[in-house]
Amino acid sequence: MPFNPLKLAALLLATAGWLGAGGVTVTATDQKNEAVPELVVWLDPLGAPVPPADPAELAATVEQFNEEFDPYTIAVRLGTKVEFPNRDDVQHHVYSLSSPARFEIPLHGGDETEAVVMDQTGHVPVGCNIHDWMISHIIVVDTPWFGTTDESGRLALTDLPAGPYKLTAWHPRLRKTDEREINLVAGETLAVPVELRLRPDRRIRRAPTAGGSRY
Amino acid sequence: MIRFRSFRAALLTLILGVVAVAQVSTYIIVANVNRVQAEREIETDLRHAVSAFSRVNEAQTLLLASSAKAVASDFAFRKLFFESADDLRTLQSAFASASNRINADLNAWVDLDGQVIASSLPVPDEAFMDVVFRADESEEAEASGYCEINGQPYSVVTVPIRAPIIVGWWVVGFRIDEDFAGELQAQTRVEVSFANRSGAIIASSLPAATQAALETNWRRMSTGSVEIQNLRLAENDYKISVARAPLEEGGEIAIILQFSLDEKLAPARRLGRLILFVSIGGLVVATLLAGGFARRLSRPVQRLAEHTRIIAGGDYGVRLELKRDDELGALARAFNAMSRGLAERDQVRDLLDKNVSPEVAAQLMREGSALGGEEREVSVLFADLRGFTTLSENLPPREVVTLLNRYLDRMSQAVEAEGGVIDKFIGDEVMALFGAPLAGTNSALRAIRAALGMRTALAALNQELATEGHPPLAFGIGINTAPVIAGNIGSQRRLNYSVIGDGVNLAARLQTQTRNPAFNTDLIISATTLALALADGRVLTRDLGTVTVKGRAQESQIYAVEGLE
Ligand SMILES: [Cu+2]
Repeated sequence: MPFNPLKLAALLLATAGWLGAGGVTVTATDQKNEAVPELVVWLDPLGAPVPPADPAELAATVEQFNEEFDPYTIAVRLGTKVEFPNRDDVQHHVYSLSSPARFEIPLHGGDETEAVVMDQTGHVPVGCNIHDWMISHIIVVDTPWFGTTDESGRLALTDLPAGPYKLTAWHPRLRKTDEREINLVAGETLAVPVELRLRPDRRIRRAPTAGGSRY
Repeated sequence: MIRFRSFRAALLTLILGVVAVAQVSTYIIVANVNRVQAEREIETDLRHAVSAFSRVNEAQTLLLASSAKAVASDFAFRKLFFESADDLRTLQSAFASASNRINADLNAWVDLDGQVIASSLPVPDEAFMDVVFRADESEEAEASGYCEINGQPYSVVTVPIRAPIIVGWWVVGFRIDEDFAGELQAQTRVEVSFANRSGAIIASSLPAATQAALETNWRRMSTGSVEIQNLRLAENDYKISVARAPLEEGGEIAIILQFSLDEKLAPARRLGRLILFVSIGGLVVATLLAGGFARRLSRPVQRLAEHTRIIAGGDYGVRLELKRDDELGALARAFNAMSRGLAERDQVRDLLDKNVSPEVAAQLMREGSALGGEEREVSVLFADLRGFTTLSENLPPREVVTLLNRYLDRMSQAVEAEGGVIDKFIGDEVMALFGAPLAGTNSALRAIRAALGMRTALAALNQELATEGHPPLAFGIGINTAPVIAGNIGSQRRLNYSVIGDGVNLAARLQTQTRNPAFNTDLIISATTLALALADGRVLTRDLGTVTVKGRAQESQIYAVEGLE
C-alpha cells in the first residue's frame, strides 16, 4: 500500500477529531415547565466545514401506520432518501407542497413503498390527501448532528468536534425556530436547557369514525 | 265636609263611594301589575334577544366557516394555492372561483403575515390582521369578529388553509343587514337595529318612521350601567337595550334591541278596558241596588219623622203602620207604644194640672195615681175674703170672676213663694198646705211667712183697686199645725189630693175667729203652730187668750201674729 499523504492527513484529522470530541445534551421544556418531545434539534458548525455524508446513512423512513404518519417529526440529512411505506390496509395519498420538496404519491395500497430524495434543506410538511389529520414534519438539514427529543424532552448528541456551533430547535408549535450559539469543549458534555414557548396544538382532530386500534 | 240633607243621599253616596273606590283601586292595581309584568317580560325578552343575536351570528359564521374549510381542503385547491403562491393573478382568479362555492357576502384570503392576498370587497391590506392573528393563536385555528367596509358591518370568521400545515387564511363573512335583523326579529319578536361605527342605523326591523326616530335618538342614550332604557319613538314607548361589538379596525357596532311597551301592554290594556266596563256596570247595578235599599230604609224613617211631628203637635191618636220585622219595625212599635203612653199621661196630666198644684201633680205623676193615704204633720192655712159679696153685687159677673181670680192669683203666688201648696179654692176661700204632699222643714214658720206675704200682696192689690175705683178687700187667715191624713180623696172619676182631720177643722175655725173685732187681727195661729215656728225663728205675737171653737170640747190657746223679727 503506497503512502498517501492525503490519507494520512485525513487519518490524523480524524484522530484529532476523535481525540477532541465533545457532547451536548438538550433538555427541552415549555412554558408550563413540561417536557417537549418530538423537538427537532440540529447543530451547524460555525467556521468549520461540515463532514461529508456517508451515502449509506442517507436513508430514512416515514411510515403510514394506523392512519397516522410515524414519526410525527423527523430530521434528515440533505440528500437522504425518505421512504413512505404504507403499513395499513387502506390506501393513502401522501403529498407535500413545500418548496424544499414538492411531491405527490397518489393513492397507494399496502406495502407499496415510495421514496423521495430530499435535495433541499428546509421544512417539508407531509400530508395525506384523504386523511386530513395525517401530518408529518421532515426537517432537511445539512449537518450530520441532529435528532429529536424523547418523551422526557431530552436529546443527547455525542462525538462532535470541539468548537462553536449554532444549535437550532424546531417544533410545529413554535412560531419560529429557536437558535443559539454554543461552544463544545473536548471531553465534556454540554447541557443545554431549551425553554420554549409553545403555541396551541392546531392539528386537525382525527375523525372519530376513522378506525384504529390506537384509540 | 259635605252635608247631606237626606239620609238617603248620604247612604247612596257612601255605598257608591265604597264601590267606586274598590273598583278604581282594583283597576289601578291591575294596571300597575300588568305594566310591571310587561316591563319584566320585555327585559327578559331583550336579554334573550341579545343571546339570540350571538346564537344566530355563531350559527351563520359556523356555516360559512364549515363551507370555507370544506372548499379549502380540496386537493386541487391546496395545490393551486401553494404552487401559485407567487402568481398573484392566478391566485386571485382562483379565489373568485372558490368564493363562488361559498354563499358568503365577504371572502378574503390572507397570507401568514396577515396581508390580504385577495378580497371580494375592497379592503385595506391589513384589514384582517387581528382576526387572523387571534385564529393563529387559538387551538382551533379559527377566530371571528366584526368589521366594517364602506359603512356596512360584516360578521367575519377566519379559517385556516392547510397543506397540510397552515399556509394561509380564509376570511368569510356575512352582511349584518335587514335580512339578519328580520331573522332575529322573527326568532325573538324583539325589534332589532344595527348601527355602524359612526352611529348610523344601517339595518333595522323597525318601520321606517320609527327607524328614523331611533337614528336621531339612540346616540343620546346613556351608555354604562343602565342596561335597559326607555325611549319614546314615533308615539310609542320602547324599552331599549344596546349591545356592542368591537370592530377589527377599531370602534364598534351597536346592536340595538327595541321592544314596544305599547305592544306588550296591548293585552293588558284590553284587560284594563274590560275591567273598566265591568266596573261601570257594577257601579250602575250598585247605584240601583243602593238606591232601592236606601229608599227602603229612608221611607220608614221619613214616616217616623212625620209621625213624630204629629205627636209633637199633640195628636196621640195616630198609629204608625210599619209591617217590618227589623229594627225599624221595632222602632215603629215603640213609637206606637209611646204615643199610647203619651196620650194616657196627657189625660192624667190635664186633669191634675187643673185640679191640683204643680207639686202634687208632679208627685202624682211620679208615684202614680194611686196616691194612698198617709199621716203627715202639716200646717194648714185658711184665708177667707171679706166684703167681696158686697163688691160683687155692684159688678157684672164677668168682672166679678176676673177680680176674684186676680185676688186668688196673688194669694197663690204668696203661698207658693213659701213652698206652700194650694189645696183648693172653696169659693173665695183659699186652703193651702205646708209640709204636704212634699214633707218639708219649718212648715209652721213658712205658713206664717206666707200669710204675711198674703197681707202685703193684698195691700198692693187694694192700691190697684183704689186706682180702679173699687173699694178695698180684706181677709182673715187661720193657721194650725197638726198631724193630718193626706191622700187622694174623691170618687173613681174625680180624685183630689187633700188632707183631712181635726187639725184641719181647727185651722178653719181659727180663721173665723178673725171676724171677732175684739181680737183686732186678720191672722190667728194656734199654739202648736207658734211653738213650731218659734223653734225655727222669731215671731211677734199677741196672746189672745183661749177660745172654745165649734166642734171642739177643750179650749184652744190662740195668738195674733204682729210680724216677724
Ligand atoms: Cu392517508
